[in-house]
Amino acid sequence: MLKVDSISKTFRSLRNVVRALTGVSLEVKPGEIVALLGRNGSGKTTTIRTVCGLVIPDEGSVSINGLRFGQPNYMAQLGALIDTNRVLFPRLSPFENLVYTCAVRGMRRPKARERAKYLLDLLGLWEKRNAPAQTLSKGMVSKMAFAVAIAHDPPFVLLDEPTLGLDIDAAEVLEAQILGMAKAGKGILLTTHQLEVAERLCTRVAILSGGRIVVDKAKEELLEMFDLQSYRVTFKEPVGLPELPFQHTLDESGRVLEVILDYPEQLYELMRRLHPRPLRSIEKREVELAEIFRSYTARKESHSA
Amino acid sequence: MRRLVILFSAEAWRAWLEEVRYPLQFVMGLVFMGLIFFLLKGVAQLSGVSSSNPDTIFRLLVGYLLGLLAISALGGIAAQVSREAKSGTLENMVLSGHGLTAFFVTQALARLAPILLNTVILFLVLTNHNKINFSLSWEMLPAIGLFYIAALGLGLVVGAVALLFKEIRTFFMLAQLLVFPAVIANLPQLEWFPLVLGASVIRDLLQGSAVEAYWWILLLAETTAVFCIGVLLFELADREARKRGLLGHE
Repeated sequence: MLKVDSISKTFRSLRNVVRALTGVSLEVKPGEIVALLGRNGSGKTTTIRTVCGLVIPDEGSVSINGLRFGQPNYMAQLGALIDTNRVLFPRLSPFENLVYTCAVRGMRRPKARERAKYLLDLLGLWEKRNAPAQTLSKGMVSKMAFAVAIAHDPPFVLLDEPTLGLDIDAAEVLEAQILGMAKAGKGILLTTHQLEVAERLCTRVAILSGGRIVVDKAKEELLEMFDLQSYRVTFKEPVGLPELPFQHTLDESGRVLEVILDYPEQLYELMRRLHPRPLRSIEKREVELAEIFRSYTARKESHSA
Repeated sequence: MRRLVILFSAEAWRAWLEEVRYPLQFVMGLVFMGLIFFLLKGVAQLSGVSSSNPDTIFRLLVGYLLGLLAISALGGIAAQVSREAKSGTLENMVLSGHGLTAFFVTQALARLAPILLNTVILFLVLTNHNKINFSLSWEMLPAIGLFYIAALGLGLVVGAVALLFKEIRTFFMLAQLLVFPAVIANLPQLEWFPLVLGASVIRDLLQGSAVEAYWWILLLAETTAVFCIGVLLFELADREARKRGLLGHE
């Protein structure tokens, strides 16, 4: 199991102090895909970089299958895609890049070649195997970044924005691989701003806001919880809204209000505030992960404000 | 040890691939270094040094080639740190689990073969052209080895600065300005300076003089100290860069 235990990190420079993470804890079990979501600057990348040992936390610890950073074999448990644009040795071909990545981790050369061939085939890059890395398109480099991350077949994989900049076909290929890896028992921690990708892939969702984990739940549990609190109110005619202390949107026609409550009893308060506007219907509705994300991050921001 | 062998083997393979892919770089390096020597010789003549004295030319030539070797080690690590940070492969090095110090030292050693080949070719061509006789003995190997390890120690110090401060061209130029003349000039007043003693021992050996055990011990002690200080500073810089979250940034 990959375990992040109460890590905190503050970056200090001469001019400013940035509290990046505060007591962040999360776990990734084998076979699980955990989506770490958050707005820009919420601490996602710092969390990933800390797990990789690229950042030393001020407090807390990270362990993988009981091994801590610095212990032999810690890194053998881990593969990471940190930057989809910058990952390849520019003077080597994609094939050579992968063989090198495998060889430097102790794989024998014939096995490394076999693995490189397998990965290039898998990601549809075999035809480009001998092209200089600097001539690859952005999408191909992103795929290569993924291949480099999983080259040594690690049990845990960290993916920071893996589908960023990919076309639909390439993103589908990558998503299928991620699902396949989880099925094969690998634990995956991924960050993304594409919430529909997270919704399709993940089994668990952790949301970071202001460097803190504000929610960490199984995806189904989270969606179910929000389904109970999400309503669509339809009016008979366009209305103006009073001040509502819940997350809500009124559509362009001014007739359909979608609202997410913190708990079901707030429905009474909602009705009181909407009275006496002419109602056509009130129904529960299914929510998307994006709305849950907005709800949590907006809530955190309003608390901190 | 097994891990170092794995690392060295992978790095040597990468160095080989990059070298054979750009052969003109190697040839032009030879031509450029040869031209610089003649320029240096010309400057020496202008400043009153007799070019007909084979001993003077010999000392200049050996100093020049050792200076080049030293600078390749001195700048090699810092250049690689910047290059790997730029291409984003520095993170991959950390993720490979070898530790950055081991990585860069092994990388420098794996890239030594073409540099040495370059130096030997130039040495043979220029000694032949200037009709200089020299003597070879097996003691040359440990002498050059110790000289290069000390240069790597200094290279780690420059690399440590590169890890933390990224843009270090002026610092590197300053380091070059200190090391290159010190190695070439071979002045007794500068014997305390790292690499000068090693260069002096190599010159004596090439001229067929015996080197007393005392100097060997001193050279070994100096090399060990310089290399250990280099490793220590590089490790500290690595840790500091991780603390500040700078590792892998350009």
